[in-house]
Amino acid sequence: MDWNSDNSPITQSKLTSNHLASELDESPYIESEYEFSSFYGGTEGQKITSKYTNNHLEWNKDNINKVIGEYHKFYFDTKLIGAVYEDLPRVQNDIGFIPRNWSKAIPITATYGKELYFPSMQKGSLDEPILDEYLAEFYVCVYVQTPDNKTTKETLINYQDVIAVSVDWGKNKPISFSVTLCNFSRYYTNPANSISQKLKKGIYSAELGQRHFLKIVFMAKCGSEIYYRIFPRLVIKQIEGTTEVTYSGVDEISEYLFRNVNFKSYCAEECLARVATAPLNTGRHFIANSLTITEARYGITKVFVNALDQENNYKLDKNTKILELTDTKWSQGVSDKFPVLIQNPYTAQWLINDIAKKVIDSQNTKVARDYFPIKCKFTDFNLYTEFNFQDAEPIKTIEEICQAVPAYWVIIPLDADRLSLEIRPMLLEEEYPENADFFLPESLTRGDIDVSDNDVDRINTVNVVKLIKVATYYEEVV
Amino acid sequence: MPVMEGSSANTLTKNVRIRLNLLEMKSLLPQMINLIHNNPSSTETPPGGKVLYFSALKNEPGTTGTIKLNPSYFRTEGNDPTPEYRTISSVNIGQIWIQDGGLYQYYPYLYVDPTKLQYVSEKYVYANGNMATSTMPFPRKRGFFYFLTNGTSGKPTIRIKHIGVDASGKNCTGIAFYANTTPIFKAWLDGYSVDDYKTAAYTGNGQNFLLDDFNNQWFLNQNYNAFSSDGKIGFLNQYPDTAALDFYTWIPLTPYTAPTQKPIVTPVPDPFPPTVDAEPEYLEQRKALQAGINLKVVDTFHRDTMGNGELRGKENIINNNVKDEDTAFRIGQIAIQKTKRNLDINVLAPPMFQLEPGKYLSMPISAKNMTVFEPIDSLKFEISADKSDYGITLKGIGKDNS
Repeated sequence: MDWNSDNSPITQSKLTSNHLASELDESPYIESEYEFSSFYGGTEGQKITSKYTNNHLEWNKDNINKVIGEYHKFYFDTKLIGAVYEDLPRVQNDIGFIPRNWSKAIPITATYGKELYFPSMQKGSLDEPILDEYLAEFYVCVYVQTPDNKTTKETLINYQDVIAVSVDWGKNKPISFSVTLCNFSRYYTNPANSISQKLKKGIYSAELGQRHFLKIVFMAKCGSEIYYRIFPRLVIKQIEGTTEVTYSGVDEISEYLFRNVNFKSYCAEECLARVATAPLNTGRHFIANSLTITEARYGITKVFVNALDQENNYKLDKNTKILELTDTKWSQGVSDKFPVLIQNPYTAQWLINDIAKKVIDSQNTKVARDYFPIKCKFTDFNLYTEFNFQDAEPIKTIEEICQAVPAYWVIIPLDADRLSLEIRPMLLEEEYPENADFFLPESLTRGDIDVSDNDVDRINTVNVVKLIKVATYYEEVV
Repeated sequence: MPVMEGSSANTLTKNVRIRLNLLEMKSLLPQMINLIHNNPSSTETPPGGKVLYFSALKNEPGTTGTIKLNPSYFRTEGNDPTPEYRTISSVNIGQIWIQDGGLYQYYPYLYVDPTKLQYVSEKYVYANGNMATSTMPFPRKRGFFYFLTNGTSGKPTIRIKHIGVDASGKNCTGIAFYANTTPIFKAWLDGYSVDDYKTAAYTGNGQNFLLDDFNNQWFLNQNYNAFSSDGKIGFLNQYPDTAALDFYTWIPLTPYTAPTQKPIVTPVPDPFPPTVDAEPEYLEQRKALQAGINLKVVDTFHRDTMGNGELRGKENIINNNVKDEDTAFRIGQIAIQKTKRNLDINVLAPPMFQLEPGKYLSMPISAKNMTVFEPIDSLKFEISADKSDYGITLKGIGKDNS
């Protein structure tokens, strides 16, 4: 089946077992070669509505089971793994969905049907929930992502083998996930299968020479409206079980940020050393050893000689880190006693971005450099503190900056293939919006609402401390 | 010590030169190990050979240390000895020069601090490698000089120190070697006394004389065997030499016995005394580079109006990156606000996937008689064969625990 050239919509009649069989001849796993982000439209949401949905595809459970039934039939007919499955009890589930309906063959627009997708929960809505909202269910499919692979970016895991999936997504914590697969056939742990090499711990597989991730796609259906919540770039951190193998881990960005890394510290203030070698041993030339050189975006670099601000009477060579005092006052050189101090602060946003870049760069050179986007939604400010990154977790520094804003961080899936780190300011109670973004009618909640005390002692007084920083200078005794 | 023979101030204020055979150098100066080079500061060509001057460290006489002499300076065209590296240590070195060409071409001259020459014996080494056992001073009213020879053959050296006026009161203009009464070699100073060594120019038939302009010393650059008994040295008091000469009879060398007492050495003044700057006194002062903040943030409504009293956080919030006091105040407010939300509200909802952490959700909870309007703290997706749960967690305002 030529997916690329077929621009016409695939109707229900086209989805026959022949198609499935031809697809599954080689492997029971469907390998899709398209890039998801290309047809999801914008990056804002994963709301996708098929305009053919109402006429051609009925997204109800019966229809899905019908397709699944086709698959079942083929699945048990084949001798590939049939012997194993016939002897062992099989976990029955219907949580997966056929991703064939996502393919490029079906034109999907990213139009947002607010009226139809959980209308009673939308902003400002006072409507009673409709029946579709009560009956709404969601489904999942799991992919293995290999972004470095030129041909196969994603490999779908057989939806029937997906037994259980859970994802936890919140503020100030990584996206954690767990995927349990049926492994009676040992298919996912057999080293002979290529998929088992991709389902390994960590980001990079030395065997494959490329990175590998899991991608979990949830699909929620409210009536005829579909909305996908996609969690790409999930890194496996733990593998448990044999007949039912469970993969759990965190997202890619958190995996990087919680690593212990080693790179050069950030230094915003430095007491400079004299240049000892000719011709710069004039007493007016000084060299910075540790200073972090940033773009002088705000023009705030300051030089002090014995606690006297030199204003603009200096030249700083940003390549050699050599400072020259140009004031005629120092033409005979600066006394050995006098400390020469430079302040070249970096901004919080620059620092966060630079840390993220260096974390990626500090990996093995074989791993592809794939920098993740960062959105800092707070007002930038200068930092004069040094930050050490010797065997340190970058997230500690980011959280320290978040506390100073104050802000929180959250991992936001950007599109079907990318995650982003967002740092958003925290709002005071009086700054909350007048209307909530969403409203949850009590009748729509399922089960009891669990309200429990989290044992945090309420306080009404707290001290916020910023330590004073003192420098030494010398004053002549007259 | 004969080396320091010049009792005149002229000698003592300078460094004494020792001529050393490189082969014997170690025996003479145990401290001397090697000669090392430095850049030649100047070159000068006295008659009969080329003199290379080498600056010692920083060109300061009296500098202690190691200098290097490039072996190429030992070479001459057509007569290329094996270059050697040599080191001098524990000797104050003022200057080194090598007479390049002629007879003394491989004999470096070391100027050393006379106070450091305790190990030098009264031996002089000649070009042929033989050593004189003693030297003989010839103090005269016009000055003094001495004549070194090994007796029967070789190339003798004449050392003349501090030549002043002759008997008739005329300035000495030169020097002549005599065998009996026949002058063999003559050398004149070009209108100057020998004391003006720096500007003295040598003229005359003395291609066999080599003038050391540092210590007023001539070298006889020729084998001459006639001085064994009747060699004489005369002063020339005219230029050119036409006038009568004063003669001094050659006195054969006698073995020299070293004085039992150490000679009294006038301290050599340091020509480059270390300059001591009068440094002003400084007092160490402290200055704040960054203002500190210690802000007490109080929720007065709950403390005063509600009468809860002061419920202080267990720990201060210490953060050096706080921008200013306004931000610090806000940080405190947020911290108090966080503890106010001491309820965990977990609810299972229909799969409304537009929700995100941080988006505001309003939800009535009639059983608790409350309505929550808070940002979503976290979302949980759970799906398995028997359930599909979509959980929402919020932080709600709990009861006052005071």
